Amino acid sequence: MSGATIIIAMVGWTIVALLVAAAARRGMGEGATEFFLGGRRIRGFVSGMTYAATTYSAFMLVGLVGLTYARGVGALGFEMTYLIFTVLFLLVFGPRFWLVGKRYDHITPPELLGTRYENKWVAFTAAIVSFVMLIPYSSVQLIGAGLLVEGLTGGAVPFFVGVLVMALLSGITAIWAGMRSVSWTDAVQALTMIVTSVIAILFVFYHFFGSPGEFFATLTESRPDLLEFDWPPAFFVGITLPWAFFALTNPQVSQRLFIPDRLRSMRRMVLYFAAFGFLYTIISTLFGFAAAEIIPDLENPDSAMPALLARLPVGLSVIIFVGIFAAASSTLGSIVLTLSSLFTRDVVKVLRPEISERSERLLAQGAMVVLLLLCIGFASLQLGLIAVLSSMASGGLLVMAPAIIGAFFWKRATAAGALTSMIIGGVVTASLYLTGWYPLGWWPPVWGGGLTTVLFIAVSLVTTAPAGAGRFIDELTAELEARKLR
Amino acid sequence: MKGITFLVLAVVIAAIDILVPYLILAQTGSFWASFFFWCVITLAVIVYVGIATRRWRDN
Repeated sequence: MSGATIIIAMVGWTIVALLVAAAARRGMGEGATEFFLGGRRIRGFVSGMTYAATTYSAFMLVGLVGLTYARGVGALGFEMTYLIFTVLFLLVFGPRFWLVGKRYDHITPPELLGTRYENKWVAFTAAIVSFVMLIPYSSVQLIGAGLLVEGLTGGAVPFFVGVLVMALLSGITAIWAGMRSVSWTDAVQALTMIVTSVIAILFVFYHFFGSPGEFFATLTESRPDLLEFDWPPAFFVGITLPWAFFALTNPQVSQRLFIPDRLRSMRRMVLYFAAFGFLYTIISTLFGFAAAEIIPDLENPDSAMPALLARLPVGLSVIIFVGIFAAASSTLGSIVLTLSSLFTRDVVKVLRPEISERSERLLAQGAMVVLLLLCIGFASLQLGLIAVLSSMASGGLLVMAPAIIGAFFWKRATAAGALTSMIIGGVVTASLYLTGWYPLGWWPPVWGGGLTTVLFIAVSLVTTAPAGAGRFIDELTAELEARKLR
Repeated sequence: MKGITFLVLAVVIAAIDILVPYLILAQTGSFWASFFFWCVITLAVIVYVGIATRRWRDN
């Protein structure tokens, strides 16, 4: 594919995103809630699509395709298990986040923890854990875009150009108009992702195999090993466990539980997201199987999708490229916006509570620029360590799960329990990842998650729960019962 | 949904989701084995959530 084609595709896509962002900005009001949460007035379809686009990054059409290519059907099991737990968590925690967020005017998930545990340092710690885990993860989105652009053009468009365009596209909509703009562009990006991937997989079926039925028959005949589930349990649990809790522990998605305009919209959000995830997961794994049949013996499984793209007509390759680019930029834009809200609400406001909403917004916009520059810096280094830090992200964020679940369901849960579990659990999990030590063959999230849970319970039992903890849970329960949600 | 109901449901689904492919379908090299199973169980959970959220109304 020529460099000019890729450049035209990226510029064209940027223009579309900017037009959508401009339209979204017209309805934007003043204040932090408006900027960070779209005024809690996002409708069901857009809520669902922004949730999907934020969740599903370039990992799906690059990493998951590669995982399927190399290790077969277990990749589908891993991703479907994630989806199952996410919709179940949304069923239980969606209305709870939404009701509490409205009642206390929370903008960030750590703020909710700070309120429940009556301790601002719980919110501060949750924000810091999120920064440490999500900045390298964001950098990997940029690295992925850079490598994809460079690989598809045979080096005609340098790695750094891909990184810069991605950073610009992701940042500009978020900086310009906050959540309204991000959610609208996410909706367009999610539709692009699903439509392009459906077109492409159908083309692959008919072009290379004759029909979908022939594809299934061919693969079953020639590569039955890919359809057998032979993953070691420690590997399956190790990568699935942190993702199972993704909906709760990743602030860029849990913050989206605050944005629907009403409960009916939240229901639509859950169902649209679930439908999207189900279809997109199946398509991504089918690409992996198809690549294994068409181009076996690749040294690097992660190059399966780019190698497959190279065998498609240019027009179709560009369409898929735009879909992958959209997936990466929507995830990055959402993370940057969420991290900027965590920075202003849970870090700066803890240190300077008197800050005005206007200053808060300006500070958030500045923080987004700094965050993107940091991510560009990380990405340009292309350190192997970043890959380790990125894979650490979901495992590291798992340490927040007990404190989040306890906040809603356990009156005895204390700030000391939350702080101890997040700090010690986070340090232990990160240390295991960085040293590569997997005791007894089990992955760091298993040890970190277990230790975090034990610490949270033990420390909570020997310390005093906040005076308002019972009221927090009782009031929420009463509201759920009044709405017949419990 | 009450917390305890969710806990029981999550444990049961997790057990089925992991144990069936490992214990029954692992050695079957067909789309009708683990691939089909995971699609069906996920779809079943999504349908269940669709039914369970019908009560999410605003008045």
